Amino acid sequence: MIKLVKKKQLTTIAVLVILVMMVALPSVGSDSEHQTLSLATIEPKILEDNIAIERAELAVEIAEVELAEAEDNQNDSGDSTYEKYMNRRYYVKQAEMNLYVAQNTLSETQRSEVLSGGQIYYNYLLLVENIDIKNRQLLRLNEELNGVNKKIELGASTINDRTSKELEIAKATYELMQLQDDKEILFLDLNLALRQDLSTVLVIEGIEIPFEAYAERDLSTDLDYLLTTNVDLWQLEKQDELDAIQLDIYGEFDRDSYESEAKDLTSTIKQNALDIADKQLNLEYELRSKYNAVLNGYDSVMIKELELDNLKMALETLTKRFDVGFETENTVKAAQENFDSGALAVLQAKLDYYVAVETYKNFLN
Amino acid sequence: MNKQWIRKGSLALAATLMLTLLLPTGAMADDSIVEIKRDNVGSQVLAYSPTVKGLELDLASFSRTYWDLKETMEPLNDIYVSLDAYESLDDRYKSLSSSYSIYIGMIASGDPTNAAIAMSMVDGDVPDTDLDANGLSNADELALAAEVELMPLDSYIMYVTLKAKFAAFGFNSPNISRQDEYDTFVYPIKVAPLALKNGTRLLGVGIEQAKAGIKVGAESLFDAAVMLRGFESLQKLSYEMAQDTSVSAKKKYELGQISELDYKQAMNDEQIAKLKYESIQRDVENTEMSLNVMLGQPVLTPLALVSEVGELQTLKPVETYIERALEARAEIMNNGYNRNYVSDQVYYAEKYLGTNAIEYVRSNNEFKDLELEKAYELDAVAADVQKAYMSVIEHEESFRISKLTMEDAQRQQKDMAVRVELGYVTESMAKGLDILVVQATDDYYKTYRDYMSAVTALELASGIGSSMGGN
Repeated sequence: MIKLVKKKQLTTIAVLVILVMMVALPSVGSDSEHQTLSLATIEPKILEDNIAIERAELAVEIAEVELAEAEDNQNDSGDSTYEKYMNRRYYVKQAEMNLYVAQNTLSETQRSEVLSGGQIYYNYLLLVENIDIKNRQLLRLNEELNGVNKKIELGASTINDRTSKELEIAKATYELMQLQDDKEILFLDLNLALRQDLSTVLVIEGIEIPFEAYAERDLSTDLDYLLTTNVDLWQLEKQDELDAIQLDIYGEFDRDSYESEAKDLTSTIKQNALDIADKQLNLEYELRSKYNAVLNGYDSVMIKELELDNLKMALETLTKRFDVGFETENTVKAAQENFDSGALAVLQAKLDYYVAVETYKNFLN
Repeated sequence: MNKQWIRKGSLALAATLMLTLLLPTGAMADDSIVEIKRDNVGSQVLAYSPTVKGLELDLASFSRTYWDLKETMEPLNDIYVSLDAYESLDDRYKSLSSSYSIYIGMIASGDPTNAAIAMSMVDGDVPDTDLDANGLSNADELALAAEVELMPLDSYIMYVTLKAKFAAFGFNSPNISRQDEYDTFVYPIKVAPLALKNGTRLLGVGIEQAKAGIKVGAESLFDAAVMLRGFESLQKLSYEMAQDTSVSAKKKYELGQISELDYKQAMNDEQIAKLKYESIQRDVENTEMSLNVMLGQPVLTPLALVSEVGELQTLKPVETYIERALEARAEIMNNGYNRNYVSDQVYYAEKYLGTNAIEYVRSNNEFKDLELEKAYELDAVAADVQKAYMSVIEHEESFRISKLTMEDAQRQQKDMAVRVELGYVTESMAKGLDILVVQATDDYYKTYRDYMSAVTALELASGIGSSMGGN
């Protein structure tokens, strides 16, 4: 038994990054379709028939049609002189801006859908592993309870010992139930992310949580890049240009008819300057805080690995002590569970780090 | 060296936590450091907030729209107010026995050109033969002879002009039904602008609520930054303690006093403490960057966060706060504005359409709903104020306890220092107490900030209310 434990422990250490498992949820209905998933198959499925992406694609199509229409009307005299000027100088530029924003929204939606779908996928796997650990803990606790009962019969333990063990079991059972509930929810979320029938049974192949240290960034360079490429800031600046054009048009003719509109627009232009400056501040904040999240994510992986190292040493020591009869088998089992939980915490930290890195990259794109 | 630092550092923290904790990491006296006080962080943020400025701009624009609408409605209003004149002219016109009599009237003006123009607008047959020089000159006599009434030309022109104006709205006589009068004139001139006026008032209340929310948000962020600085200091102490332990473990291991496992674990613990310290420094940086953004200053501006413990407030009886809230709360004000607006709608609908009209029934029901809502809101607001009032009392108590706890920890620390000097206990044994003092001091400031937050919550509850509640 202990040899098995050791073997498992070694395997876990050797492939710390790799969580290999076969997971199948109980069949919801006998006709349920079985879906075998792997990292390679998940991404295209997330992108396929994705409502959010389809909506963003539709927005691009509408923006294209509106641009074509604005271009067609560029030389129309319109119902008024104002409309004539707007046709010539404003609407095409506005439609171009809207198209660019829609295109960016589409690529951003694609990236975020892949990231969030992947996150659900990984979390599901980690949860399954966590349930496995909790099940083993329950088995051990029940064995310990049997031991306590025997000792009570022999007069070597008290009722209080049994009560406290039963409490531990009740607590672990409750935690297991919570994990199973979470798993059910994630199972539904995963099927939703993959746009498939909610009763589809998911069979998950081996999965590797990506972990690669992200190269150190020069934040000034990244910030300069962000300030020239960020679509939200670009849109604010572009809208400011458009507002200036519109105000110019108001000023060219018929001042009295558009007095109120011109007043509003003048105030809007002043507000634009504030909004642009505020957006720049916010972008710098977001960049730096997202980068801090990357650094903290990396540190968190290091912390969890160091903690795992401590758990590993504790397990090894206990195993040696067990081998010479100084420890019980259940003590070693508990240490093994702690070690497995520690290994899981490393994987969770790696997942968090992966998400932080991808979020930073997406933010820069 | 580290031991000395910990002792000195912890004492300094205990004595002057405000300065030590609240200066940015590694910052000494520096001109570039911006001092921010909790008392005025809210107003500073509001002074900058583009959101608030944007909302105020919306309000100005909304208000202009109201006046623009009033201006746009002026020509329609001019027509509407001439309805009485039209009615009276129409009566007079109809009272005349025939077009002939009008004809005489026109001639009576003595202006054949105008008479001809007016004639062309007259319905019915007019004897052309009478349009001669004699007729024009002795119209009055002719009229007298024919025993008919005269209608002066200018009145007639006014009548025809008004008739044309009302005809443009589809009314061929001044006898307009009340429903038509309401739909064509009363609603656009009187009722529709009321909606805009009411909307402007509601927006004004919404802006005040948003400002209150932003102010509270700024204070919460300030508190979070101060709290994190406290955690940062504690983590720094933990890291330095772990360094000590690790140095000591190395020596013990070399002397064979502890196992390799204990030694390795101490080394790992030191690394863990270091990484955690670095992480929390980044958390502090994030929070302060966020505060800088709210203040509209460069994100990396070093901040000195001043959170002095001031006097506790003397609470007035809870009824005072409730009374104030029942006038000042956004939901109460909004309900009042809405009731005024809807009661005007009810008035116009009743006056022009009667109590069976759907417009009246709908507005009246809406008014009743608002009355019910008001009754509910009065109770809800009173309960809200009472809750906020109790929270202040609880936090005040919590602050008093934390003050006693801190003073007790400081006393224990002094005793411990004496024991260390006398050699009764080792310095490492005193370290736990140092951390306890730092924690207790930190908790003292935290409970004060929590108390101030509760006071702010009471101010809000008895003032405009939070932006989460209300309409």
